[in-house]
Amino acid sequence: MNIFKRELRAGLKPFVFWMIGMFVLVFVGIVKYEGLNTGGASMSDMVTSFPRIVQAVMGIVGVDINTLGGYTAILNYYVLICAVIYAVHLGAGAVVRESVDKTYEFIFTKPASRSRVLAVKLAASWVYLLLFCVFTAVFSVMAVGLLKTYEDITATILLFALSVFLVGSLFIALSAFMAAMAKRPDKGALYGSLAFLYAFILGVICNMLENPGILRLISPFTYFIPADLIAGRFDPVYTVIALLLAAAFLFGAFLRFKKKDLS
Amino acid sequence: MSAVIETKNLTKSYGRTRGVADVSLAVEEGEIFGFIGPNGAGKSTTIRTLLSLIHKTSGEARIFGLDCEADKVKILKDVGYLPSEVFYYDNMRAVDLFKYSASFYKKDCSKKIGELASLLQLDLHKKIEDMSLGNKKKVGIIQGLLHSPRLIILDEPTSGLDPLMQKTFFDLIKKENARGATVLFSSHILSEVQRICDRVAIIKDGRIVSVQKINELQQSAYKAVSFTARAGADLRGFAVPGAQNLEISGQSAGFIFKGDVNALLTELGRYPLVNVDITEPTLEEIFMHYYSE
Repeated sequence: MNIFKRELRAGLKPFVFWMIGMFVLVFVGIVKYEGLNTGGASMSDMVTSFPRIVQAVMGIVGVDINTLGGYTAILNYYVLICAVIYAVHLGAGAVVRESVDKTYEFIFTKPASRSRVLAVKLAASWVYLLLFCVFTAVFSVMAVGLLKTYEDITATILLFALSVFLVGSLFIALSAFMAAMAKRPDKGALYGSLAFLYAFILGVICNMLENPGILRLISPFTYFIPADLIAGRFDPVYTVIALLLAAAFLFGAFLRFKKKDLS
Repeated sequence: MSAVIETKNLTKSYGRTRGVADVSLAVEEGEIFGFIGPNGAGKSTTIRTLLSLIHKTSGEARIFGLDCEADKVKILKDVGYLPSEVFYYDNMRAVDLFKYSASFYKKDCSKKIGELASLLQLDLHKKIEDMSLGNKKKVGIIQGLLHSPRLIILDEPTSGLDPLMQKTFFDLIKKENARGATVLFSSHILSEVQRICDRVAIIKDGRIVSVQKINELQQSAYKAVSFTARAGADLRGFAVPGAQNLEISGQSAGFIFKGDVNALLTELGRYPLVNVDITEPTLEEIFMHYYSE
């Protein structure tokens, strides 16, 4: 419990900064929606005239941005990118922070097993990811409430938040694994960031293809398709895949971390 | 007496890079055991292997009769460790760190924290990041001793402490030892090892070259010889079997000697001497002897 409290305290400042960013992103984004809808011309027509690669990079393939749900899906795409970057930071930090800050000779010479220390640190990371998703969802609900559309998309927002939490969880586990595998602690977060970049590019490629097939399996950004979430469908297969992959990466991270020379 | 620390052929290698090789040691209960060698000799590697921060390549390492890797958590309940370089968490006050440290031992350490802070004159409410190196070292000492461990492992503990504080620190370690704590004291400063330790292990290039009692080390057959000859005498031809680390500077020469004293006196008699000193060598000189071999 002592480690847990310290980890929560240590992670508070970055979390607050992230939340300020998310607050601005969500509220400014929703205000823009009002501007777009009062403009008269159909934004959807303009967006569909963009090349598919541009739509894929912007995360708007197959989404009708004239509807509030569709527009929220685009915002959620950017929230997802931010959540994944944050998750990479959380996962890698749990593994290498003590080594990078050179405090490992303090914590790891106390009577607590490495696995316990790592488990508690990762638990604190998950608490922050959960809070990230909850706060961002609350911001979205509040921002939509400010619009005078009287359209209730709370259920859609919650599904989006759940998808962000699952994909974020996968990236916490993945970056923890990569940090544990890294020989140099200062490279720990780098490999996680590279994994994010790789997943993002794969996501764009998947979005460009009409039928990405098995490619979707290795592209977590496309596990949960916005059109499905807007329609109230939450893909159980990719939920299980995300959870299984996260469990496998966590297992690998614990295994490697236990045997790692700390320096 | 039983060995609190015991290693048998403990080896740690980093691929082709040497760590330590075949380190065999036994630190008995209640003793202050010195561990000396220059930087890079393998002292910290040995200590980190004992603490399971790094994993051995081969051999055995036991503390309190328990395996250092398999029984790490059990062992560390009774170990206090002061690393050579002290790093702690940003935005933490000394008292917060001590409370955090004490929470791992599940016992009330507040009285001891107060006593140690008062002895070492440390401001408990100051942020650690704002402290001088010396005060950070004091934080390290207190966090290593606050739970009254049975084994204290000190890695270059005096760096950053002023001479007065060093004396206070040595007195504190002697007091902890008198309480029953065993101490492993690693240093490259021989005078401080000489000041406090009962026995000493000398490590060179990752291997233990000698384990001796401090007084035996000084009372060995080695002698420190120095002499000065009259002006004009040429000392370049001076040679006697058993002389090591010979240094000639103008009309003076000095060396460590182990051999036939008669041969030494005969050779010295060849020169018009002004002064001769034949003394017990300092630990420093003995140490240099081990390193020149």
